[in-house]
Order: sequence, then C-alpha cells, then structure tokens
Amino acid sequence: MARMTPEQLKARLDKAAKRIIPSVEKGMDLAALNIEAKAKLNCSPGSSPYSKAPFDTGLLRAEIYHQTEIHGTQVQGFVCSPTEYAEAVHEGTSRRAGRPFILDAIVSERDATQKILAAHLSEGLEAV
Amino acid sequence: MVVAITAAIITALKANTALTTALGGSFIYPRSREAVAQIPGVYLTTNTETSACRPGYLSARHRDCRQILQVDVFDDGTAAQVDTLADLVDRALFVATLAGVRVEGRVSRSEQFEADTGRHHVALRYALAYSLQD
Repeated sequence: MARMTPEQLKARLDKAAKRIIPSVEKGMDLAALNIEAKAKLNCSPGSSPYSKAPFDTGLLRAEIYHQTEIHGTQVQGFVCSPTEYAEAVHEGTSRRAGRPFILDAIVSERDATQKILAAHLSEGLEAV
Repeated sequence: MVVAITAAIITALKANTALTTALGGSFIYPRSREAVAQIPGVYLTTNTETSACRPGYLSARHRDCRQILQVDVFDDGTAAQVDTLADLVDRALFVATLAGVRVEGRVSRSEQFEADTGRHHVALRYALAYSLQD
C-alpha cells in the first residue's frame, strides 16, 4: 500500500487535475460543437421547433459558433451568436415572443453533453 | 398541463399586491407568439418542456417533467422601473406556493432596450419541475 502525507496527496491530486484538463477541454469542445449544431438546426426551416424558424438570409444561423476556454483549472464552453439582432430573436421583443435557439439547444442536448463530458473525464483519469 | 401551470403561475403573480401595485393593474398574461405586448405588462411563455418516464411507468404511468418558463417584463418608463418590476416578479415566483410544481431556480436574466419604441424589456427564465400521471 502506498503511503503519503496529506501534503503529498494534495500535490498529487493537483497534478492529476492539471493532467486531465486537455481531455476535459476536448470533451467540452465536442459538447459545445454538438450544441452549436443543434442551435443551427433550431434556426433552420423544417427542423426548427418554432412556428416560424428564425431564418431569412441565413446570417443568424451561419454566424453561430462555439469556443472553449481554460481559466486555471476551469474549462468553459461557449456557444455564441454575434449577429446584431440575435439577442432580439433569442430573448424576444414587445412585438414578438422570443425564440431561444441556443438555450433550447442546451436544454435538449443536456443528456448528450453529460455523456460526452463524462466519457472524456474518465478518459483523462485513466491517463493519470 | 403547461396551460394549467401557466394559469397557476399567473394567478400567483396576480395575487401578489406589491407586483400588481407597481404594474398599475393585473397586467399579467400568457404570451401569444405573434401578439404585440401591452405596456406595462408581464408575459409568460414556455420555452422548452421535456419529460421522462419514471421507472415503473407501465403500471404507475408517472412522468417527471421539466419546463423552462420565460417571463417577459415590459415597460416604457425607465430602466430602473422595469428592473424593479422584474425583481418583484422574481420575488413573487420564489415565494409562490404552486401545487405540484417546484421552481428550481432562475436560469437567466437579460435586459434589452427597444430603441424604436422606447420600451424596456427584461427577460427572465426559470426552471420548473413537476410530475404528471398519464
């Protein structure tokens, strides 16, 4: 049986946390990409859950993107839409109810996101 | 069921005198997708609803459901006024007793200003959980 002091255990766990980050980042990138794809489907006529898909020129759909950032030991995934009118479409206005194409994608892909992150986390732990 | 939940939430919000006083009346409605909102007004929309069969569904017919509820608050006064209204909606929803429905928390809050109409808008989203028996 390996024996170690609390300080040694802490150092080892800190090292393990750093080692699994690349694997978790890969998983987060994949999960965010999956949500991006679903958000784009939400903006496509024929596959949109809304009575009228938020689609006219295709700009809103085309500009949706994802990115992953690492801050210390935190891995954050983002799905963004930089289009000028994206917020008005997503949140709604006084003239039209919102069509939250990104939030709905996050909610509907929750199980898939958990599976992807769990798979990459265990992959990272195995490598430690 | 969504209709029943929305109705129960509207009733709970209308029963909150602090909110109705600040609004100047019981201007709390379910949102119709295409309709223009009355100002001031509080509008409720269901964003997403998901459900999963509980183990033993074949005999008991229980389903656990989750819903994202969007509450839009509109006013043509100042941003501070619409913020106050949104805070009152927040408080009213968290203290409301809704039979069989659990408000799990607020998912998001965002503020917009419609420059062409001069209206302020706060969009609040809440996660609700409830059970159904088919």
